[in-house]
Amino acid sequence: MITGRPIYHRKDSNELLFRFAPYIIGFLLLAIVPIFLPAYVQNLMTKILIFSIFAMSLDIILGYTGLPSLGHAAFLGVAGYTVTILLVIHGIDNFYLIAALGIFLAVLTAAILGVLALRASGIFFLLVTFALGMLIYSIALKFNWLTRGQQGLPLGAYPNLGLPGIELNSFTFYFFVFLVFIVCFFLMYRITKSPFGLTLQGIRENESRMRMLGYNTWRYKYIAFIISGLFAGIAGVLFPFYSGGMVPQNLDINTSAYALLICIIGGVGTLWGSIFGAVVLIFLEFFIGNFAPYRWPLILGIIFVLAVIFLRGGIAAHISRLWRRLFIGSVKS
Amino acid sequence: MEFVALNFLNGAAFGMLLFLIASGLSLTLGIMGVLNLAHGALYMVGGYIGWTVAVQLGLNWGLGVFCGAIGAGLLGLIIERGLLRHLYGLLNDQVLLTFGLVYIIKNSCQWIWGMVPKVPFTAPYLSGSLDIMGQIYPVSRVAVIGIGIVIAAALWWLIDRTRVGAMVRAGMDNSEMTEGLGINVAVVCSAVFCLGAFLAGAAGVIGADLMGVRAEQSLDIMLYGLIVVVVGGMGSVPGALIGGLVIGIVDSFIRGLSPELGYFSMYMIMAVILLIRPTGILGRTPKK
Amino acid sequence: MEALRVKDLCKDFGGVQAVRNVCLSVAVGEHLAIIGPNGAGKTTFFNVISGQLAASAGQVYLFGKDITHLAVYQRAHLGMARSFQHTSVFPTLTVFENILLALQATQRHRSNMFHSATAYEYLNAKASELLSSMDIWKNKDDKVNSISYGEQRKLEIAMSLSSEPKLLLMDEPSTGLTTTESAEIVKLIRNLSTDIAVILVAHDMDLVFGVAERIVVLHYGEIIAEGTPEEISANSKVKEIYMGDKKAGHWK
Repeated sequence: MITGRPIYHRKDSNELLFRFAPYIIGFLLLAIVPIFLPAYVQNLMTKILIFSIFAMSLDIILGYTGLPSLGHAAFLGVAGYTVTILLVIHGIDNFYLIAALGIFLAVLTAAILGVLALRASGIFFLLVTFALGMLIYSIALKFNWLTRGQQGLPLGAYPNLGLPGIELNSFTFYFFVFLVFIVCFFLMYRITKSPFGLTLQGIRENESRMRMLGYNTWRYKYIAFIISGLFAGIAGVLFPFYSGGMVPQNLDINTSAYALLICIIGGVGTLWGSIFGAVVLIFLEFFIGNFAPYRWPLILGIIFVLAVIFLRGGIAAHISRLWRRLFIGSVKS
Repeated sequence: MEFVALNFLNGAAFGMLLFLIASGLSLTLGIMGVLNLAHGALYMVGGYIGWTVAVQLGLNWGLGVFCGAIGAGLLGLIIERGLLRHLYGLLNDQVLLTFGLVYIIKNSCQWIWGMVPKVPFTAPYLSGSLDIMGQIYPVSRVAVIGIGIVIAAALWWLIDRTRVGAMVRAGMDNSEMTEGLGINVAVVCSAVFCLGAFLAGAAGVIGADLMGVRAEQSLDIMLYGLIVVVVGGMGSVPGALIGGLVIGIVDSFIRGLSPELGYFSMYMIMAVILLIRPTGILGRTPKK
Repeated sequence: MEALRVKDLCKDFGGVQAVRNVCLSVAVGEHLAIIGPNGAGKTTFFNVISGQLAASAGQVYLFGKDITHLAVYQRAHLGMARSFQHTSVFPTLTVFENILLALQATQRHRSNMFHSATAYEYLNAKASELLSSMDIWKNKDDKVNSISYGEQRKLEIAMSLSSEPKLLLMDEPSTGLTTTESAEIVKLIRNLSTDIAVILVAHDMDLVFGVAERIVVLHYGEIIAEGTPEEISANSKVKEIYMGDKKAGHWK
């Protein structure tokens, strides 16, 4: 029997360009353009990157595994509160330490909630994650001794990276977030293209067939849930530095719905689609916020409804097609 | 002893309200397989309309309940015919669509009725109080229990004893077969959806006695309804009744003993049910 | 050792006894067909053997091991595979991804999160072998929901052969296929390695007589006849149940 190790061949350079050029172009743009933008736009870009990580983590269970969750904000919130509490209330300055703890607690939350949520499937799962998300929100709201409740925890600083002489400010924070974003994207990309990622997609398509083939589907769904909690936690440890602190509202259904909408607009099941979804939604929110702030939820709802009815495959599907046509059109081999 | 009686009554009143909320949800879920996340919003709309009729215009409270119910029912009709049928067969998409509607309906109501919540109200003839075991207890709460029982009975009669009900039950079990029998399942689905909305709207006005009318209810009430459905069993109207009463009464007792813990009692009940009987007390396998 | 042994198997649904005290054994490499009128309990019987349904009573032994209470996914690792009556594949994935999923199911690397799923050469080779043998290699990059029903069926069978099973359960494999395609299935089953036992549930008598070494007839959940194809076609009780004409060769 031939060895079972993976073997990578040199790929045809055209194919490489086709597949990877968009990413390279996109990341270069994200890295360079913000330098020339006004501060408030840079701020928006920071929000976009953080929410991209958040939405991509949701896409792993929503798009790839087929588990629709309305409680994803719980992981972001647990991580964010951990970081903020440790920094503001206990004065622990070391970012690496508090971030690691924050991510760890987010993963723990996912491990515990996952056991309950996966007792359900399909629509039932949506329901249960909604309730569990609100449960975590209630804890943030009611446990005043831990979270200062409704009042929230303001945070005025940027992460202390322990680098001598380098202190982050709003501008440099963006690049820190960008770095984290690239790493997270790369990791999530590898995971979705791996045998594990393929398994998740199989579960989404036809779970009973997967079981018959020999996969312990519950275990895969659980691991996927935990992984998505992990990356949501990463977004969560960055979030309070961007938003100036944590309030319980950051964990409620609206935040979870926001992530869901970003995935849907961007394209469920394509990781990079969420980035476009975040760009669209966050810029829209900003503009509407300037003209008719009280009507933003109404507009959000309308976008949601229109996206569900008309945007089959999200922005990603259209961009894919466009890229394919451009590429095939210009490179005749 | 008074403690027990008081909490039992409070719990029963709240439980009946939960039943009213969850019954419509269970019906829609059972026959269409669609989880109508806008159910809470319909409750809220009913409440606002009822407020306008009963408080702002000073008309009869019963009329307020009726108008609230009709208003919500009409909105339900528009949602189902106008939007949901574009996504025929795509259950997940339908559920997401109803979620988007929550934001639309909630914000529209805030636009129309303002951001200030409406204080609890009820009919003047229900405003008195009764003496139960030496404790003063509002008549309106007892009325809620009474109304709940009447509606539960009416629903039971409708579903179990009428031809229409038989069609609904048949559709719940096997829609293809029902179609084959010449019954227009699409019309039955629409009718059930509207009935669910109607019930939600009525509950909105009735519940205003306990909780007033607030825009946040579009999500809070939804959450209550969902927990009742998880506990009582998806798609089961008797389950909604039992689930509602169980939650209402247990919640009331826990709150009575420890207000801190009381906030989480519903979640605890849900967690227990998920662990020991995931399909709910009277659960049936959800329609695929 | 027998490939499969079923002892006093019963399955009840509420008041209905779908499978009643069925005793059956299948030798290694044997081709057995289970026939019977609609509602005889054939698919229920299959579902209990493959684990989708729990037996109400009785035992199932796979190569001597008691698997009665094992979960569905554990049975595949003991050499059992199944194809379904209603084509059960992965619709929005490509043909290649479908077969890859089936192939990697029994491999250790299926949980790997860092390598590319398509980088395992030995699986890719097996995939091309399986797909070519079914003549669907040309569709490898097509989404399954865009190929024809017959091709999907062939993919389904290819997938059930991926794990190199020692016991293959085939539920109505020729449903929806043309006569030519059905004949291809017959050829395929006959060409299978001699150590693969096949249990076939079918209505298509050409398929049954083309493939079966032994036939079992189920009626109302019980075995009412068992024997070689010649014995069964001569059996008057069986003929009575089908009320069909043997000369036409098709009992429906």
